[in-house]
Amino acid sequence: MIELGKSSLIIGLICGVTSLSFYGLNIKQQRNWFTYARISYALMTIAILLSAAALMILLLKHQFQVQYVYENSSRDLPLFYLISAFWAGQEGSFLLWTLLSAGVGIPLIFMTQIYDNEDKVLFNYLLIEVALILITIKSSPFKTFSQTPLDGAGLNDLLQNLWMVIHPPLIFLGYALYGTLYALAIAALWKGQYKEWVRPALPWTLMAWLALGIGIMLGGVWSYKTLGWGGYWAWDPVENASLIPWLTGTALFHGMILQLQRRRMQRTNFLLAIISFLLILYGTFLTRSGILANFSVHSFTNLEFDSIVLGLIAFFLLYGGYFYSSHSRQIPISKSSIAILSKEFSVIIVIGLLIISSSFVFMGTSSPILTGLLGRASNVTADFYNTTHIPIGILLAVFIGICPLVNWQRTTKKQLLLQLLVPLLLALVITALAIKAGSKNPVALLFIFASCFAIFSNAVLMLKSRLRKRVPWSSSLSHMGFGFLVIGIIVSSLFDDSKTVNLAENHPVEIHNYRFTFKGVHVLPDGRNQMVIELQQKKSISVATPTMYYSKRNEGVMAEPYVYRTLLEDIYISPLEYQPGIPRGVYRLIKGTPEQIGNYAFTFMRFRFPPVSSPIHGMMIEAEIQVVKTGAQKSAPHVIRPRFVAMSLPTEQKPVTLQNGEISLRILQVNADPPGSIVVSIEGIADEAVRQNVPAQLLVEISRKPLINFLWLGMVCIVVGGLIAVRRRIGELK
Amino acid sequence: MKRRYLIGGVIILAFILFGMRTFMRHITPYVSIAEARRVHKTVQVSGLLGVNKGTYDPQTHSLRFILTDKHGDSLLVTYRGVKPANFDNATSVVVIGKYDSGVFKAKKLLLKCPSKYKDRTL
Repeated sequence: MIELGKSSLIIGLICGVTSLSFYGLNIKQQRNWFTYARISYALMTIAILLSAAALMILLLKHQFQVQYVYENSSRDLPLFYLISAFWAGQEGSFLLWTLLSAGVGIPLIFMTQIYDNEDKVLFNYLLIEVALILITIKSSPFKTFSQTPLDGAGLNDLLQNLWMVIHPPLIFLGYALYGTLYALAIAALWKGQYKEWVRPALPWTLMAWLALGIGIMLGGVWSYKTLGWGGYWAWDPVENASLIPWLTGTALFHGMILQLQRRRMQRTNFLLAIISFLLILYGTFLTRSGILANFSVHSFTNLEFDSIVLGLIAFFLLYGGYFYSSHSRQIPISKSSIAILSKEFSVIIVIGLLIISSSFVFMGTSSPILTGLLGRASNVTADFYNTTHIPIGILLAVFIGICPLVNWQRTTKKQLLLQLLVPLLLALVITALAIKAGSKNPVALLFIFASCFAIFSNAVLMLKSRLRKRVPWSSSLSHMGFGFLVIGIIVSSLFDDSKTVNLAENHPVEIHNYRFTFKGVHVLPDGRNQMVIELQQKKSISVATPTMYYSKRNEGVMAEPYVYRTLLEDIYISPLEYQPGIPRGVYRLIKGTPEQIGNYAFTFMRFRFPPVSSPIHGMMIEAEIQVVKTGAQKSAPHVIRPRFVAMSLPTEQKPVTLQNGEISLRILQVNADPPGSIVVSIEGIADEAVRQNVPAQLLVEISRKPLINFLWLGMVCIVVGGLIAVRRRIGELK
Repeated sequence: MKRRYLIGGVIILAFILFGMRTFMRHITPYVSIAEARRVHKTVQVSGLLGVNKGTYDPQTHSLRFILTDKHGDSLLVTYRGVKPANFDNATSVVVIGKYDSGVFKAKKLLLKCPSKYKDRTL
């Protein structure tokens, strides 16, 4: 199986190069080599598929002598996650990228036949594919150990989640589709089809944008639901690496629509298509190389690999740059002037804002490199991104709102004012309501106003186009989605109300109009601890179950939040720390701190390690405790030394009785963490003033996130709008 | 037409200036402990945790530990917040914060656990 995987990749490389050469010959000789080129392409795809199948079988069969299988799976992993282990690590995800890329090329062959540019498009596309196969061979998932480990290290617990199973394939599908844009753009430059390429390239751009976008959104959902920090976006380099090409992709398809409608932005579109793909490679380089290792929590570290990816970026940059610079002079520029009150002006501004936004994210994400070149490597905080996106976000919303109200070429002021009236009034009403509800933050109010304006103006357009039929409404839906998204982001983060509270077992605490009662721990069959918290609002009671568990792989306690969802707000419960309770008659003695129990004072002095004299094999710890009887029958200090035998099995510890025989003491737990403490059970203290039991305590962060559902609603609208647009644009090709 | 380009240029220039200014304001350089002591600005310091993993007070949720950098300097770091889950296993830490009267007040901790960097050979 290992050999099959390795050799298939080599065969795939050979077939890929063969197909590339046939397409090259076709371009050069004007002879028909298509059949050979296509057959080689098909063989290449089959070979990569075989290689992927081999890796999948190795995973399913627990072949731990394969490093990748060892590092990303284990015997106890359920089938579902065993499959997703395929793309849990770097090597496997490159194989997935290569495979998806090969698959995407097949419809590309069919489409470019119709549009009569198959050889040049596929030639360029195969350059990318061959590069991907080379990387996969270099960072191979089929490397083996000399011995076979008994079990694997397991899949990272954080990735054992439905969202994380779907997220990577979508991201890599997006990456693969961005490759088609690069190939289509270069081929169009090569053939001089400066106008013709846009119509067939538009559905590919939309699909690439959509796949990457859904991938990014799912990553956000995952972050919100499992990481427990309460957010969905952290401006982490790994996230930004996908966001930057997504933003340029958004700019690109808007530019393409503008080119179809008004013959504008022809040069910009070529540049955007080429740069978007380069940004995908650059993002891969940033996150998969060691360069940001000191700045990101979840960058993958691999040094050997940097030079290959850097080399590829340089190659595709020079290659694309050559084609662009040698043809750009022949690309026509539209000479007609642009009216301010026109759709084309709004779209140009939106494209400009998207480019500015992506440049800022690019600058921030690259800051360690940029500043490293100038002197000292420095990173920017999330505030940089948030601050720079305040004006960008507001302006985007405003222009998205104006867009549906104006005609492509020209609109008179009177027409515009008439159209503006309804959405503007509605947006003002909502903003006034927000002020009345107590929000005073001017930035928040501006955002609310602008995005409501965008929503209402697009809603009006959508209603009109539904009535008139046959008028496309997908863009209005996506643009409304943008408005919802912005409201969701702004309201849920600026009005986020977060409190850290200690919930003692069965002691209700009132926060955010809810009554929270910690009801104890419920151990799940898989060993995770469910923290059962009762949530009561007025008369309705529900149960929240955040979980905490020890992760062997991550060597630490992991906490998964619980999101209590209502229509208008989320109650986000993130467990932070759990302290088990101490039952009656059981006490915790901290080193050096006297503890008064009844009429005795106990002081735990120190640990001692006596030589083991008993035949039992285990570690023996002796605790030195000073006991003083206080009150009327005061006694001299007396030292007792109960012992604790630490064994792998729970062991009954022998009690030690005080000289006068009154009380006996037994060690239950030993904790060596400074300052050191022991938990003891004490029997025989007659005094009724013995301290009551200490309840278990759960420290939780409870936050209220108002209108976060707008965020999800916005995402759904954007995606649905995008899907409809893809269907329509594919339909237009026929 | 010319005036329009001028306005466009001014807007773009304004965005660039705005971006640069925000960039400079929110940048946190990577510095040595010696330098962190000298400048009273928000910086990042990377270093190793000692064998003694520091103390954590669960009542106030504050963590104190000693960070040692590659020059051998050491620094007392305090962090307000819940102790990160894998803190006890971490060997090297990046702290982001400010040095102020004898202690480094960290706003953010980035932990690195040895398991991630384990040698690939068994």
